[in-house]
Amino acid sequence: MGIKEKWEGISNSRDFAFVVFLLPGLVLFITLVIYPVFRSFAYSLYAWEGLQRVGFIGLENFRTLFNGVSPISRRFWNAAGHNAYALAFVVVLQTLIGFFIALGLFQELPGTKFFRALVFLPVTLSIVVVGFLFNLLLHPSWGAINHLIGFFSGSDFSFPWLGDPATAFTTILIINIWRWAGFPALIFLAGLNNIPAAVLDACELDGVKGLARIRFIYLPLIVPQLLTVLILTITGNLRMFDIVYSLTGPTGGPNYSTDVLGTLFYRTAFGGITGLADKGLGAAIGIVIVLLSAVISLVITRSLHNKRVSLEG
Amino acid sequence: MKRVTIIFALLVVPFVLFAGGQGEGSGEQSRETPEEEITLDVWSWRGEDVEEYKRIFDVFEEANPGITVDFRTIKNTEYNTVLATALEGDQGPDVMQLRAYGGLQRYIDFLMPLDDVVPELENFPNSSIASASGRKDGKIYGVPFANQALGIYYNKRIFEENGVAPPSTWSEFIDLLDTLKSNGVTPLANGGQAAWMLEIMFGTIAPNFYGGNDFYEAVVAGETTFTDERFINALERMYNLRDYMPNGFMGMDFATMQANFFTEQAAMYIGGSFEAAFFQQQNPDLDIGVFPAPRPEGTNTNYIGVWADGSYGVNRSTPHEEAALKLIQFMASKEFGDMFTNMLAQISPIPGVEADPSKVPVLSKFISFLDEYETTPYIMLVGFRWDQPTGSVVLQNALQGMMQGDMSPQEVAETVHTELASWYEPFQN
Repeated sequence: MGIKEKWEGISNSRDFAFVVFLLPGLVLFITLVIYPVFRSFAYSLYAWEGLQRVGFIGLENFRTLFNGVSPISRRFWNAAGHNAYALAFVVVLQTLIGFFIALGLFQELPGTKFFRALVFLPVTLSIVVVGFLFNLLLHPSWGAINHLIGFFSGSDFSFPWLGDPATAFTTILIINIWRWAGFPALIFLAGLNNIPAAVLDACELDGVKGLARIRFIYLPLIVPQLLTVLILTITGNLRMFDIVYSLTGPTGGPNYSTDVLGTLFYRTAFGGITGLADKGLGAAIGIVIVLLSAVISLVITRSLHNKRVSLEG
Repeated sequence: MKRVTIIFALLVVPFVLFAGGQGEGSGEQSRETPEEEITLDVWSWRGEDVEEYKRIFDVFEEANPGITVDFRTIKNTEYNTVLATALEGDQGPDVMQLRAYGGLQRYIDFLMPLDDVVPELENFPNSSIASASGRKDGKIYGVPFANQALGIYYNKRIFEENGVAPPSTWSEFIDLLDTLKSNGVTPLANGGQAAWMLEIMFGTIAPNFYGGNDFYEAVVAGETTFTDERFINALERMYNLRDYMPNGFMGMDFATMQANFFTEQAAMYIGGSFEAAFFQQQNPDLDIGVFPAPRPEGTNTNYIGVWADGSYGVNRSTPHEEAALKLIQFMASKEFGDMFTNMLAQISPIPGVEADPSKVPVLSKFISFLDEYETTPYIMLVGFRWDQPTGSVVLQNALQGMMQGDMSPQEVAETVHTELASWYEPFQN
């Protein structure tokens, strides 16, 4: 067999077509995702002075980050704690709220179309708008929320929701849920709409209602959607940055009470106005965020995979 | 077929755009011959000053035909990041605004030393030169453009209505605050959400209590630390001001606290000379004055916290070295300093520059403070911003904890000391 025939054999095979079609995407993915991740990892193994690499120090940056004693390590564990709190709080509440909104919309009551658009509206707002809006709403002297509370309690009410370390972070998380709840709602709704009419009819006939229907019919059939929602919510929370930045600033104030890994990474890698940058430590934080996202996504995918239900066969 | 064309177009377009971008860059360089036009890229974080800078550079362009200045501003909070990325990628400007003291150090490898090429620098005050010098080699990398001073602004109308006058001692100050408060006036406009403004507030009132330059020199030398009683005493004075700040002040950002003052919702504002022009622009009818932070009883020195804001430096690898140096020499001249002070209402460090009191009266008052009272370095910026966490970052966040009521002055002092001791060698023994 000559080279020409061999080439024809390869170029006609299905695998060849796969490779050709994958190539453009693969090239972009490698240059824009894989390469930067490895580059960051390489950065995290060096000591830096300003913008210059000054020496290979192995895993020293990670040790400094984890040791619990150095100032950056205290910031790291403080921020990681906030991310963990956000994960528990947002993942549970946002997913539940999203699911119940989807159930509501699934009932096909009058006005469903309008509410479907309304629920999704906050997702389409730019983060800058959200930040500005809530800074106004929550403002201690002229914010509508304080006025509303004052109106109902019958006395002047002024509380710095974003300025008090006790309430600032939870306030941010509630705003975050407000902003994103429409997203899981629409995905769940799509899942519910995919349930074959025959299944729903059978439910009617057999009299499966209320909680039982949710537990034994809806939930098992939207596991793929649940998986998507969980992974997106969890990785989104690990990467949380813009909402904190726009509401309480890059230092995660007051007194680090809203600091998350994202803002800590930003300040450490780039310095901010009154701080100084340490690229090595910054890169190390970035790598930790990537690893955490990857591991948690993997665990969830694995644990939910066998909960999938197939109606075929 | 149509689909293939579209996919092909999607893939190719970014590369074409990218190539186009590069072409433009190389085109600019090839155009560079002496008799042709040179465009100098100048970067700054002062978006609010664009008009004035353009007028100042017009004067330069007129005197130097063939050179055009392209003045570009980048948002203050993004500036360091954008500049660092550009310099690293060889895309930096020819001339650039630079942060002072510790904030300058990371850029030094990309800057041209100016000691020998800008003779005017010899006459600049030492405090300004220190802000633009390399910590390791002592060379000067920038022409300082502004000094800042701290003080307490007051609303003359509100003071008159309440029959009070600017205080000179701390107990007079507290009496004044009490009078205003009992008359239903919010005494202080300051808030706590912008952490850096808490550092400004501290930098204004604290030096009188920790003892200004004596303490500064001792703590920089490591002869004492931030857990010194004098420093804790100063923190306590600031802590006591919480009662005179607006309701919910911890939720007030920089814009709100400024608005509290220029819309006459509060009688006083603890701040810096950098805000003088802004207040007058926002409310031209506002009749304001400024007084130095009150001194403790039984002393007769009022300290004024001061620092240099930053400088303008030249890119070491600029293709237009000659033109860039001409511009930077112009920026060190009295001609520039006069325009800078009077048009931008900032305190120029260039020797011999005088402010026109009719333009921004409060600013000339600040300038007169520098002669009348004792000046002292704005402690964390001048002395403790060489490594991270910087003194400013540590103090600002701890002050937020204190003003919220979560930390005591003692705890703030201990936090500042421990965090700085992680890198400041004189504290490590």
